Amino acid sequence: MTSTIAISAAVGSLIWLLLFNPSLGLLNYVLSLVGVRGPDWLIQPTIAIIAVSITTIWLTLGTNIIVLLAGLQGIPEEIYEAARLDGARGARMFTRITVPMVSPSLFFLLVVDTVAVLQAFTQIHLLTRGGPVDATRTLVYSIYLDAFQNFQFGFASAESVVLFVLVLVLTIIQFRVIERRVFYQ
Amino acid sequence: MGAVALQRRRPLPIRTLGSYVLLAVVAVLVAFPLLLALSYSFMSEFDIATFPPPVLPAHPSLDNYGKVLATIPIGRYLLNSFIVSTAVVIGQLLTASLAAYAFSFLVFRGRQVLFFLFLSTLMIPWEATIIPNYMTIRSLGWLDTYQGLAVPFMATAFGTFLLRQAFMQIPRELWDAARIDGSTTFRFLREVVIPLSRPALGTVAIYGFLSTYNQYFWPLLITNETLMRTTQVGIAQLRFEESLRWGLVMAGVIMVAVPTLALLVLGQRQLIRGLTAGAVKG
Amino acid sequence: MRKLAAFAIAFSLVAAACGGSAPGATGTGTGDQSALAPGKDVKPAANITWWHAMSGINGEALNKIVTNFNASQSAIKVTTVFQGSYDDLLSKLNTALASNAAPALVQVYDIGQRYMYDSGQVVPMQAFIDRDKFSTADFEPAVINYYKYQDKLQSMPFNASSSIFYYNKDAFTEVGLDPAKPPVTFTEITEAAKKLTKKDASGQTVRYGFGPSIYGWFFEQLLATSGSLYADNGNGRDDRATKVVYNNAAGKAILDWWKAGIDGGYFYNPGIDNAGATTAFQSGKTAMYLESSAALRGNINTAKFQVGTGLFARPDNKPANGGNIIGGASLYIMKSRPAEEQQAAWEFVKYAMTPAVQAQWQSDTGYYAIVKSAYNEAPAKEWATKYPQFQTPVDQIRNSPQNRMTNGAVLGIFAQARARTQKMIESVLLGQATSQAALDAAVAEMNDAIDKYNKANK
Repeated sequence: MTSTIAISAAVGSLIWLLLFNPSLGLLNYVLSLVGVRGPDWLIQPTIAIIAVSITTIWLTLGTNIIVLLAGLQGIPEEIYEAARLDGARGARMFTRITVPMVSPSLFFLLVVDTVAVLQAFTQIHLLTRGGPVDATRTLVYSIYLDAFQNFQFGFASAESVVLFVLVLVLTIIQFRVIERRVFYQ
Repeated sequence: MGAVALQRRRPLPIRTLGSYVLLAVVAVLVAFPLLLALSYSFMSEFDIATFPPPVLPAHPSLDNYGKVLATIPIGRYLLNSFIVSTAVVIGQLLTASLAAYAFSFLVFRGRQVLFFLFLSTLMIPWEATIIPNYMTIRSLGWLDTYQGLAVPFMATAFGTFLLRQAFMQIPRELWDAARIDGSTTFRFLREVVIPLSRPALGTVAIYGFLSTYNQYFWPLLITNETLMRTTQVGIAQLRFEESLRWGLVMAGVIMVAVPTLALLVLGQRQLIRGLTAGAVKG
Repeated sequence: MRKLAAFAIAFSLVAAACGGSAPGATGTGTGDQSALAPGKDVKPAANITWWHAMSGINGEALNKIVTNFNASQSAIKVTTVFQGSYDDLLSKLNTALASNAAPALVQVYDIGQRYMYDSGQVVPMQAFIDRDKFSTADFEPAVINYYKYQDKLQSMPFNASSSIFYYNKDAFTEVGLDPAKPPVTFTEITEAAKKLTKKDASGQTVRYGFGPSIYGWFFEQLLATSGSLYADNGNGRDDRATKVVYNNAAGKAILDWWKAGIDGGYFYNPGIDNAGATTAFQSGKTAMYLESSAALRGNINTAKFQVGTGLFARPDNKPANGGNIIGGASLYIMKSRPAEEQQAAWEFVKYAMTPAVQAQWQSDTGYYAIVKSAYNEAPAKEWATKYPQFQTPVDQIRNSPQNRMTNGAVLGIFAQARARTQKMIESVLLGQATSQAALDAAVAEMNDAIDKYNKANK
């Protein structure tokens, strides 16, 4: 299950490209077996974004699972017992005990995954090339197109600066606002 | 895998079963694409083009693997990736351990400032720097070279940070004792710090190797020569070159993924420990 | 940033030097360019590299030519490097030129010619032709005209294709259409597509009538068969193009026809994936589609049905001045390499243009021979009898009137322009914009970009 950590973006994207293939892909066939009409994965703009997202999620599953698992395993049994004595059950136990105790891991993943998503290039390059109709043309992919397809290095550099500022602002928000709610022991 | 379930003293059977089923489903969903790629790599175009789309090959054969070897110099790609990844790992270990050592044990003016500077580079997304990096490498004449592929990644703030955390765990007394004994700074590094920080060093090495091996964007930009390409760019190229022969592409994909999977199997413990060290404690 | 300006200035200076009079020339159109080529007695280099974009069986055929050339003599060895799609190759060439790492011989697609010319990095083929008094009388006029600029041949056409119409003859018979009479006009295609579309019990479409991929090249061809220009100033051939003009009635008619088909459910949209459109056709998911004649061999080999070819689509009124633009690519000899390598490259080019090689290349791929006498060679004859489908693209090009529309447009930023028309078609087919709005938006954006390009390349 942790194998996706070793699968590169290029390898994963090529496999998913085959799965999404309208003529040969298994995905739509499997869906049809349960009576669902599979969409044109890489051709409809909104669906294309979902396709790229699915691929990205799959690629980062390994890291996410490992970190969360470690976080969950780090919760001492005593806390659960104490809570049980206090009458906590099920959903309450989850929201009041599990989530706060695992919040450092969640926060770590939030930061790391945001960075990974903002950096996503390979999946877009191999699945959709920024299309359809620029639906999957992220800032990073746009830098690539403007610099290396349209040869407008000046404009692409400007986009790079915007990317930097964006990430900076996001990081500050994450550390200032969200980290406040993280429960450290 | 049922670690959480085992921690409860009297688990309800339904709960345990439920979580096992869930875990099994997730495991299948995650592993499925990979297994499918493996399956397809043994199929001929004829098999693949049948409807309904097949899951297992009707006439499994190793043909595709042979064709991959004949179509692209995959051996060379693997060699290139290995050389570059190893170079990067060595560079990273050197720069990160020296920097981390300085930050943990040595006192000098501007130490705080420099450390924050290091940390702040973590916030710069690498993609925002490709254009200037590309221009630099190009003007150095390093396109299509191993240096061009490796040098930009030989210093790592992430690694420095990780190692600094590990070095800080070393008891201060050892350092004081060494100073009293008249040991040089280098000696202390070599004989005490490094041996005691093996796990952290291992993490930096594995992480560095994997991320360099898996790189796509940078090699795409700076390699034109077929023989200088790395594995990731090589198989993506295969996809374009043989856009109608999916079995071939999947065979290439498997061949390229095998080294990283092997590394994962060997270094799994190490990697997990490294990843969780920063996460759980915050 | 300053470096970029310096490059641009350098390029334009060199372009000015190149585009102006060749040393020793007397006029602009009639000057002999031999002086631009290395001296006749220069010994060709022992090794040269050739960058190309041919994949799959076409790539194999190309490598066959090179292997045969290398085996036929011991003076020169050509090494081929596959650089991905035509777009990728041009992108790589651009970066290689800037760092002086370009190869001796490059295969650049048709629309790259203005860019190559402006780069000033090319030794015009005319120079070698003038120096050796090489005869091009036997070459297909349509093809040669495409690659000439102000009457000078800049590159040697290598793989000439034509965009044609493919259809599934078995499917035609199945629904009662005449398999010997493929539809040609928009309305005819629509009517045929309606008949060919097949749905299953649950209402899902099992086969679509017509499924062309969204490829800028098709749009350019459709404009040409409609008798419309793509850009001003004689499609950029009389003088540098300053704007694109396809937001006219012809452009709108094309988009409206395409959109109506998608909306009606009898056209299939495979997106920008050309290989996907071919896979859909070969697997029977679509019964007709548009593609380059270069795909013909692959289709015949893989399809489990009879593959038919027909004339490329054109509007109902079949304008007399409408015709097809040739497609494909040509070979450029790069100036940055030493004279010995240029000489070696020319030797290979001459070999590739011999009738025997052209005939074999044609029958291996679907690109048609550029040299007319190739049709007398054995492989060409065998090919013509066994696969009459191959005659379609040849006839089509020979029957197209030669005018500015069918010569094709010349634009420095064609790669960007093509990507933009693709985006435009996508937006209309997906219902995001009306035809006219999408056309106008694309034209406005491209005119802006052309402006910038022209200013930087004065």
